[in-house]
Amino acid sequence: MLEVTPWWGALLLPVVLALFAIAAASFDSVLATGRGAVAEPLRATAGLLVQQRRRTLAADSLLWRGGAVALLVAGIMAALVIPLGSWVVSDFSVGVVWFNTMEVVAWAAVWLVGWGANSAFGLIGGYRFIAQGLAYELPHMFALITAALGAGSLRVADIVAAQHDLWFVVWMPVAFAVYLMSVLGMAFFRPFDHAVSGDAAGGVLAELSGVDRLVFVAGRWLLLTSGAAMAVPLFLGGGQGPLLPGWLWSVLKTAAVLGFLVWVSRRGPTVRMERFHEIAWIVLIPATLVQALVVSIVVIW
Amino acid sequence: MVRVAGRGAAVDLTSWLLRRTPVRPLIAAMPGGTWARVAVEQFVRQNGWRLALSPAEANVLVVAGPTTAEISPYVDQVWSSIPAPRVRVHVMDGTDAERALSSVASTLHDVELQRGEAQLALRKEGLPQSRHDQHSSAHSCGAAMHDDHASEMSCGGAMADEHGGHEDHGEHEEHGGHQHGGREEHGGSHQHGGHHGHDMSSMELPGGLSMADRGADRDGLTLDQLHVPLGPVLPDWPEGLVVHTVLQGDVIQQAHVEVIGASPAAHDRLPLVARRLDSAARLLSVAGWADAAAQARVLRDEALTERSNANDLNRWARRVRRSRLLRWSLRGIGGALPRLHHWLDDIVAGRDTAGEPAAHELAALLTGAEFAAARLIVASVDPATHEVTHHA
Amino acid sequence: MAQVLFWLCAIAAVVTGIAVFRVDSMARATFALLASFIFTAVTVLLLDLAYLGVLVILMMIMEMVIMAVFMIMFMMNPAGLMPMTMVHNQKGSLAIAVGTFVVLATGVLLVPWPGSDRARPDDPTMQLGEALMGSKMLVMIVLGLALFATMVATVVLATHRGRYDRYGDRLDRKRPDDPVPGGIGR
Repeated sequence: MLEVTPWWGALLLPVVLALFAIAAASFDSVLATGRGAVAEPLRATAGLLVQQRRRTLAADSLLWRGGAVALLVAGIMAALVIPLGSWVVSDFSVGVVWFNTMEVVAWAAVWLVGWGANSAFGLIGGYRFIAQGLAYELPHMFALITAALGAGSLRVADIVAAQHDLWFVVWMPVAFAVYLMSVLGMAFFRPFDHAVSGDAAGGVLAELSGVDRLVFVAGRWLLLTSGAAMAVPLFLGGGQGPLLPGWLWSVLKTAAVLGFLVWVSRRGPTVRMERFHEIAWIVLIPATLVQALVVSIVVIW
Repeated sequence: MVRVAGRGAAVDLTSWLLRRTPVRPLIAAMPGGTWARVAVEQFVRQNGWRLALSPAEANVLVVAGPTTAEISPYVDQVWSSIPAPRVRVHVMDGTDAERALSSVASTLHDVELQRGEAQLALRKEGLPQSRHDQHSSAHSCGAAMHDDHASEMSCGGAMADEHGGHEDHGEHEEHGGHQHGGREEHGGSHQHGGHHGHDMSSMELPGGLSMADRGADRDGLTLDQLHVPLGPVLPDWPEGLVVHTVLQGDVIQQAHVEVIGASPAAHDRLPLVARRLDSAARLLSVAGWADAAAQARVLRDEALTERSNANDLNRWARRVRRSRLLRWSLRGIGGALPRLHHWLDDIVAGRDTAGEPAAHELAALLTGAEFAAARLIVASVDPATHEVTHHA
Repeated sequence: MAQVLFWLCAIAAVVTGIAVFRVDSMARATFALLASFIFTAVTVLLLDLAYLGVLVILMMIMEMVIMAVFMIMFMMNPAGLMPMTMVHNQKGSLAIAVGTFVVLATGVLLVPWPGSDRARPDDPTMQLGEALMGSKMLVMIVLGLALFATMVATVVLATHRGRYDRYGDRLDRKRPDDPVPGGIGR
């Protein structure tokens, strides 16, 4: 049902992702400072391209800058298995696991960037993200597993096909909600932005300037975009829908999920991990397990 | 010929990009400079600028309020860690902001000027070359100058140690593109002799920087301690406050509070409602609720120009008070939530019930708190620093 | 193509493996080890064992990050962590390493590996799952429970704060007395 694009699909993928990410960043700017700020992300990019790169005493430059690059690469690689309508760059047999792996790269990347700068604020931010990872990752994995269970396959194409009659979001609402929450978590996006929050002068971002900052921030937006886009094949029926062509449905659904995430993230204060951990482990993990149980029973029936 | 043309294109591209650079001011708020800061924040909002969180992010340093000899080294330190392109302006008081800030964008976008600034930033940002230098140079963003441990601070603190070994391996570093030379020279001059074992307590590191101490943490483990000064230039931080902390992980083991740069002449308190709105905005901002904080600042500025609308105030106060997420987030953080609610009462009723704690009361509240909690506690106390001079 | 990729990854895995002991910072050692594991995982992927290969990458990233955090959190100095040697008891460890390598290498060469002319299954993941889970489901379930119980027991033994510290000697506190209050309030 899905067709794999020729090799140039892989070149086109980052472009499509970047367009989504820029649109999301623009939407976020508009929400923050009003309609005049539409071009803010592009202008900020221009500014970062001409800004000097900051250096700190006794930084571990290889790991510091390498971490930022790893985040960017992971954000793009995660999207290799996400279909746009009926096209996909790679119809990997274990697509869901691949996606999960790429977004776990963020653990290493963010920690490295926080640690490498040799700065107290960066270090605090880096450790905050590891704590956050330990909180969101298990519920997130169970949410992914639930969708795979519903289709009986780890291949994204099979998961989309299994939603021909009924979208998974309808009978897996808990998994869907947990998935969206964990997308915000893995992209350390508000309200799960403690790793880069203002109270630690930007945390992991505190010492980054110029191109390094651009790479890291772009990687973060791409990761958020990939996460939002993956929600579509996992829970929202992929490119299926009436009248419009499949690719347009994919685009519309992705834009809706991304827009919702950006909008909802502004609705409250930062969620700190000393608070959220208990919720994640005592409420969310059992909830996702029960959801997975219900789905397995339905599947076996 | 081709080469010259190529360079011309590169210059054009640089200036094209530079002209589009958005202004990102970092406000260094001085004690006695509250009106100046408020005016700057107002100007920033009206021009659709966004404030920077750290020197690395900033391209404009706005010094708000009168500087004293005591505090100006800190400001200089912050300035030296802002990468080019950059502009430094001084706003003395509330009436001064418009004049000082209106030319900032054009200065920032001036290629010739910024080229010179890049040379300067490059030289100034050079990292310390000798042991002697290390003790006199130091911290920038939010990190005080003279720490007991001669920590080398950049933004809130690069750590007090040196890693001479790495340079020797020659296995890393994409030096090519770098403009700053400090690190390379530094690494070369400190060949560390041999390897040290795992026990690193009380050892001196190559470069003469001292290693972190150790001490028992709250779980009974012996962990490294780090001396990190917070302030005086941090976003949403009381003017002139410096908290010298001993950190283990992100837990504050000891805190020592100091207020620097207070000029006795300056009496610049905002009127009550505006003052409370200002404090609430800071607390909300530290708590990570940017939208509610921004709204509080709009309301504050309206209150200052007597354009307050009781309905707007009430609606905002109700929204903040009713936020379950905020209550959940602030519960049990050193009395932050009750203090915020007192402020909300004051704002709605227009009379003073909360009172203002002095800075020296902070130390007891901060000891044992995690870093995030400590920031919230400081913001929720928001001590009146302009009257105090020193608290040991 | 696959041959070239295999040799590239094999050599890179060995080189990064050696780097673990040559670098002088714990973070670099950890991430050199991670790189080694990832190169190894690529060779697994070349065997068409997609699930296993990707899983190795996934698990190793998480494990290495947790390991780095544990190693370094006891020493608060980021990046410029004091230069330190990653090697202890050099002669002993060298003897063990060489011995292990020789045993495994002779094993590879001497064991009569079974050959098969049958076509490879379409879905090795499915095959693997059935081989592991099919006839031995009960064993796997018991194993999983035992592992989980071990983890819980270890944490319980390691923590020095019990319910009497949290809820008082009579367990009559409504809210526990924790150094840092959690998000549920119980």
